[in-house]
Amino acid sequence: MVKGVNSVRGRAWRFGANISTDDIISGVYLTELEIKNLAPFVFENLRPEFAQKVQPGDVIVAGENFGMGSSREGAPAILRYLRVGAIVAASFARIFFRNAFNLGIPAIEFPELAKNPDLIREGDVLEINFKDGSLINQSTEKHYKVTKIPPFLLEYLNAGGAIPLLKQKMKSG
Amino acid sequence: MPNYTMAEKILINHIDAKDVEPGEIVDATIDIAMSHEMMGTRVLPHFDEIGTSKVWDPNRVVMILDHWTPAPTVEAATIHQRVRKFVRDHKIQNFYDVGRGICHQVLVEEGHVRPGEILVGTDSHTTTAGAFGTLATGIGATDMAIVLTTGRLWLRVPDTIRIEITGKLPPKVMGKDIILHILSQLGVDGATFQAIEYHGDALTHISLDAWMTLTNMAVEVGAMTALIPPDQRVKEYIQNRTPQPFTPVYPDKDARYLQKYEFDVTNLAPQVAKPSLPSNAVPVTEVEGTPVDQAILGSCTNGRLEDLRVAAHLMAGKQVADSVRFIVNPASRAIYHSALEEGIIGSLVKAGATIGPATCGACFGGHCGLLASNEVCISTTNRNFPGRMGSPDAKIYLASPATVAASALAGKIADPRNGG
Ligand code: SF4
Repeated sequence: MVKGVNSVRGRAWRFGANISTDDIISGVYLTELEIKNLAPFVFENLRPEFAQKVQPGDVIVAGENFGMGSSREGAPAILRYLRVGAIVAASFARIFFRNAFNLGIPAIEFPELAKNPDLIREGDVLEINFKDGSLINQSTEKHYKVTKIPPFLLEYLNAGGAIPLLKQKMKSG
Repeated sequence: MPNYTMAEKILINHIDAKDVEPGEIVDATIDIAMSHEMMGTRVLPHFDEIGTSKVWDPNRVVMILDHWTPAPTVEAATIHQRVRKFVRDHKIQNFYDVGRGICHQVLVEEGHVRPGEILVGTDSHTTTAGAFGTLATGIGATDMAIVLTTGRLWLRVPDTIRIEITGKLPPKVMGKDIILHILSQLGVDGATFQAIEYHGDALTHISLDAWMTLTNMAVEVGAMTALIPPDQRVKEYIQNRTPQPFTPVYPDKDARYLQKYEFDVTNLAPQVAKPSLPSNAVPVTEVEGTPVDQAILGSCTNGRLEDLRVAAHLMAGKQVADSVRFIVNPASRAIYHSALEEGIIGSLVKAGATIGPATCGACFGGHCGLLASNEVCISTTNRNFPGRMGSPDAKIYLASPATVAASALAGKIADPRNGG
């Protein structure tokens, strides 16, 4: 259910607060070079079915401090490989936030989720517009405001990540 | 009157502007870029994709192999091989191969950390260097590929939290206990995207080793970076390790802080962080008696000379409990050597320790002592997330070297203030 670059529509996968990069992918596997070989182990302990069942455009929804811990980029790289449409969380850990945009995955802050986690439930269908910062929960028919993505990070999403963007810029001098 | 924090001042010195505001995005020049095995796994593919195949400044790049060292698998050996090839091809001037030590320690020992500079590393605990007045922060693989190509990186100007640490630590209570206590008060996202500045008279009573423990675990509070204003000890330490000049940066008197905290450590008890968050710290007395299967002394948090010395002192003439595997990984070869000369290694071995190489080892679930299902470990490392050290069903408690040593002797979590 992927839409254009500035919006996404997909089902919610519900996670709690303080999901670490160790939860996303354990350090045990990190000598593996190919992301496709790492992907089956994503969320191995929390949601072992995730890799099998996730569909392109699906949205990860979590509480505070998503992606805390190690700087391992394998974590968001697997989510990109599985074509996760966006990650919505009450807040993000800093390095994860950078890594996500660097790889072209929108990390959307929705602070209200900290207090009201039930605004989005497992399986709800969400439509998110990155540009105007709106989130529609189509399952509950409620509209919310989320933190707008700053224009310079929107550029990352439009280019498909930091490296394609750098290459464009280097080309144009 | 200027009113900047340390982080703001260092950033101003690295951008084309004379002023910064917290929240603003700046494009900063980078002084030192450090990577480890992540270079061989995730950075190189990005670097190759960019395709300029030229490193911006081989003198400013530091490569250190420390995570899977010595290589426990063919895959790890292959990653090391790729890194060595990169080092040769690009004439990287600063390369530290297997056995030299954990990156955050080696960076400091080899004079790559200097006050007032910006250091980025593909490792979240890069914040450690902030003990020397360096704006040091962890980045991912894509960021590193960009830094290697351009020597620049966008950074968000952080708000700064000022943490005043006052008083004098009681005996057998260490820097680790201070940071575990701070974490329990601020939480694992207490400083997300922010800078921490440590101040206070307690700092003058503790070692630089302990300072590094405070800045190391700032990332567990979510901080971008953590800084301590350099004192005379720091200046001497750096001068003895590098001929390069440096200019320490200090905060302005009226610097604007987002928040101020004060912690008096005069009556602080040894702290233990219960599974599975580093912020779950409680006084050791609350978990005393919990049986442990393994005790680990090491890592970039607590594998330094003072840490080994404290443990050896507590263990002298005693024996590790039969039910415990006690594993020690000095944070660097230099520390290993000093500990040998001081007789520390001998005391630890006599007490029943297994001394491993200067490596990250089990800290991140790599090798050298992983945990089986339902096992309990007490460790001087920095993270106790489920699965961090092997089986997701293992339980990890975090504590100071003194508490870990006392617990290894007792076979259960023990208060280092009793006996020893
Ligand atoms: S010792 Fe542990 S925390 Fe430190 S760099 Fe190594 S794996 Fe990371």
